[in-house]
Amino acid sequence: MQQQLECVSLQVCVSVLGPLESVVRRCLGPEGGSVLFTRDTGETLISRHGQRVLSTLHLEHPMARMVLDCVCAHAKSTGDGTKSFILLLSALLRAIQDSAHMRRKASWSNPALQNLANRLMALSRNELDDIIIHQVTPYASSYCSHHSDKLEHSILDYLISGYISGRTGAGQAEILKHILCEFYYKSKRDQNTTETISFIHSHFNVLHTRVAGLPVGCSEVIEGLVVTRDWSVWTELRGPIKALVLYESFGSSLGDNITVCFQQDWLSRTESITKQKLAYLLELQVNVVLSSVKQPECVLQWARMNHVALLECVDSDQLDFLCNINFPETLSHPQHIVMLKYCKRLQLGGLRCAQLGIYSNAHTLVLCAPAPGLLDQTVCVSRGSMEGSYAGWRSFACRWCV
Amino acid sequence: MSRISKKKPALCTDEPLSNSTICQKITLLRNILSTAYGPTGRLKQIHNNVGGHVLTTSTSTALLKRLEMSEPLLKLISTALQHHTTRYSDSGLFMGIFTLTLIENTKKYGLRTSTAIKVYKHLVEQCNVYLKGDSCGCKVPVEFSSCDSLVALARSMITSKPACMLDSREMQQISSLITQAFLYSIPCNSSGTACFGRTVTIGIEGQSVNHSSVFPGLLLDVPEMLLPGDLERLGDGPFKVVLFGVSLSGDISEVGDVALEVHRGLNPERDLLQQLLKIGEQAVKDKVSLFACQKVVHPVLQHYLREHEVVVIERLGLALMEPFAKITGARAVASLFSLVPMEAYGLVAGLCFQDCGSKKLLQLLSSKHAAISTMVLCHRNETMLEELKMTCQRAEHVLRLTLREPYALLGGGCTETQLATHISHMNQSTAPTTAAALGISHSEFLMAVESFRSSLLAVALSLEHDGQDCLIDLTYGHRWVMDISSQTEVKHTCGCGLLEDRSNLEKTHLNTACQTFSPVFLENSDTQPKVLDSFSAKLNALNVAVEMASLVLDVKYIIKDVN
Repeated sequence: MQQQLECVSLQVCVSVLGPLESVVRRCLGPEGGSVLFTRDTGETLISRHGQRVLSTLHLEHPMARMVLDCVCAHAKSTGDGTKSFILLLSALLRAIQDSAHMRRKASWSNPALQNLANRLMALSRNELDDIIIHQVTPYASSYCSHHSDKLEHSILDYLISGYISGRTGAGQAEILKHILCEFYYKSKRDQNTTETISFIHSHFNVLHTRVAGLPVGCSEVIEGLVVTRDWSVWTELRGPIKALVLYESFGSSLGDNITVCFQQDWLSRTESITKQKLAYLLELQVNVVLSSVKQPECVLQWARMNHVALLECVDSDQLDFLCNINFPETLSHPQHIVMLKYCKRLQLGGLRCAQLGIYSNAHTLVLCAPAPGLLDQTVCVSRGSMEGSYAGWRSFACRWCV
Repeated sequence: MSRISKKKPALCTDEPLSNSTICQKITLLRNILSTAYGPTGRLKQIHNNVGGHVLTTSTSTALLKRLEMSEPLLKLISTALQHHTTRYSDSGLFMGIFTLTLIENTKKYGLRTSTAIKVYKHLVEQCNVYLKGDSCGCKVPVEFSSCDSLVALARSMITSKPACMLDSREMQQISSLITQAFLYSIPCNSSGTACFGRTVTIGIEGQSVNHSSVFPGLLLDVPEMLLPGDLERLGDGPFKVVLFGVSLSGDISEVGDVALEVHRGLNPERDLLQQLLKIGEQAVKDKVSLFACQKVVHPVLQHYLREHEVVVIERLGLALMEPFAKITGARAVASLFSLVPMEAYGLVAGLCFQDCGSKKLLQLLSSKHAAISTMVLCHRNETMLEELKMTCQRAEHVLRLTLREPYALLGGGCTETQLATHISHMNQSTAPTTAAALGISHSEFLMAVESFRSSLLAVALSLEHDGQDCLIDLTYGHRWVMDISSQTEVKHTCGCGLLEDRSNLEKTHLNTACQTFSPVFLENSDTQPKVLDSFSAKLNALNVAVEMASLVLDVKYIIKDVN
């Protein structure tokens, strides 16, 4: 393997950052656009989030990869400012390169560059913090202190709207901001802000539903948990409902390398085992069965006969969420019983779903978008806004002693 | 082992809408869609050079499914279009033409994309308010007391698909059949929550369209060896029915691909057959007249049942299980080993043979007013039959949508012309304040409004393919077509058929700038419009079109990964 030796000059640095800058420059600010990324597999991604956009580029030059690593590290600790990072960096390098002309030299020599680097580090370590704290922060704090009486509500609104406006088009920003704030306020009720945001943030996968083909304006917040599956067997139910959560199928699960043995009376034995299990369920007086796998036909038939509603192929994350939030009486794994407030059928833009009312204040965020790429972006932005608000809220809370 | 090759760098396109190749592709797609629009639209034929299925159609769904697009922006629009037509079954071409024209016009007028997006959003909200309001001139309420509007709506859907190749008499017949099937599917006298019934569609090739009809109940293929004499022997209904959801073929294949260990002296297949015959005996004992199974029935069992004068229907298929269960009230039995419970039996009011052209089908009549009907469609060849089946299903879907929003919009381009005049009139006086509120200049706002208006009118213009002039009248804002060669004394009507031509009705060409006016609202008109469009579908198409156009205009950089 040949090792390629390259002399890295300032010129090379500037040219390596050029492509990164040209991508990021198009999506900065309120008038900025989005970046569309596609793969040969047909997957599309639309985003104006700096870190997401840069991570999709396949960068060959090691210096570019190093810069990308720095961007990711910065994003991890602050959650914002990745585009500004790249633009500031390229502007700084270009300014340094151009200043060689001011010193009437063809270019910077290596020792001179090293000296400059040391002095810049000293500046950032010693003087930059002072400048920001004493010259810049006072403007921000005077704005916040005017609103100290409605600190909680408006700060969160501003956090969310600031996050969203930088990451989606103007058309969707208004709608998304309104819907996310509504989602937050509906989920809040008696808890305090930090608890609510961290609850939403940690369970976001379960608390949102995607619907493609409708305009973004059709997004809404629905009470309870929404499962994107239709009821296999449906009956009208009222009042507090006992629901059974199943993680495996009632029928015999056959895997590989199993020998099925035909013995005497094999016909009647096959059925009696399933029958016993189903009879036991009847004794428990469950009205609803929620299963994460597909159940055999005999279970559906039993459900129809005994007026039990059955929902199959539910996401196991959602079932786990239900079990954890409800303090169930655990029967024996893999069966749990949970109490539900109500069960309903729901129509979300042509898709039939199930709505489960739970005894906690959780709501589901239904996000709509005309195209799947846009839907991914909407979901990402919503999730990120919760993360960003959590980080931002914590720093605000400790700074302004709420 | 996959070949290890160096990863290629991604293809980047900066400012895609300034790229001439992409603009050409947008124009091409718009031409494809606009030349296929309307009753005089040109059919498109898609085929592969090396053979394969040839598709001839003018429906947006079928077209876009087969068109492979390499440009990611166009693929986005195509996906959004397909999602819309899945939900609403109509206005797909309208949405496509409007989206692409908006994008082209924004570039043509040299608008900044962020400005254009803001203004379009404001304008589409104004359109929504106008269309949903009470004094909307292009909205027609759908009266459910008479079926005129329903038939007109169905007829407009059929007329807009020229690939069906129907003459006017056949169109009238098919539209009334669709309305009939829709009315059959609405349940009456049902207790509890009302649930829509279903219309099963059967296609018969090679017959004339006149033989199409709608039958209440379910029509099935006649089982082998069933003679008219057998049905006569059954007598009059109602007949007891049992329905099996599991396979009665007597083989153990549902166990899967596993090793079987069989004890000495046992013959599993024979035991299963004994069990099947036991099921047959129980059916005969319980006086069942119709024995139906979703899958295959063992020949020995079939023979036994036929000897005891039970009609056997096998291979019903998953699709027909639900309608069958609804018609008869039978619950599908899923187990072979236990006795069939009494509640699982159903009833059928009557069994008879029906003739559809030259084909014989078995009809099951429901005893409990179930809202199931079967539509038998006949046509001369396969292509036209496919198009007709698809169009009828979509027309029925559109009729169902009117139950949620009982309105229809004027067709024939009149809605577009009225909307365009309304928009330009509304924004003429309030332009300075609106522009200031949106944070843009007055002239930019007016240009964006003009771009929106001309895109709407471009859709109305694309209805005409035979080189005739498109005009708009300056009183009511409806679209007119001037047929210069026409010499007859027939009264000339506007695009939707609501207005009749008068000598004092001033008209001007569609694509010229005219002075803005407010379209006069026609109250209590005696005539009914002849061409109608679905309200929900068109409204959603308008909103999604503007959203997709905003999305595409917003994209400033494309990265294509070619690995």
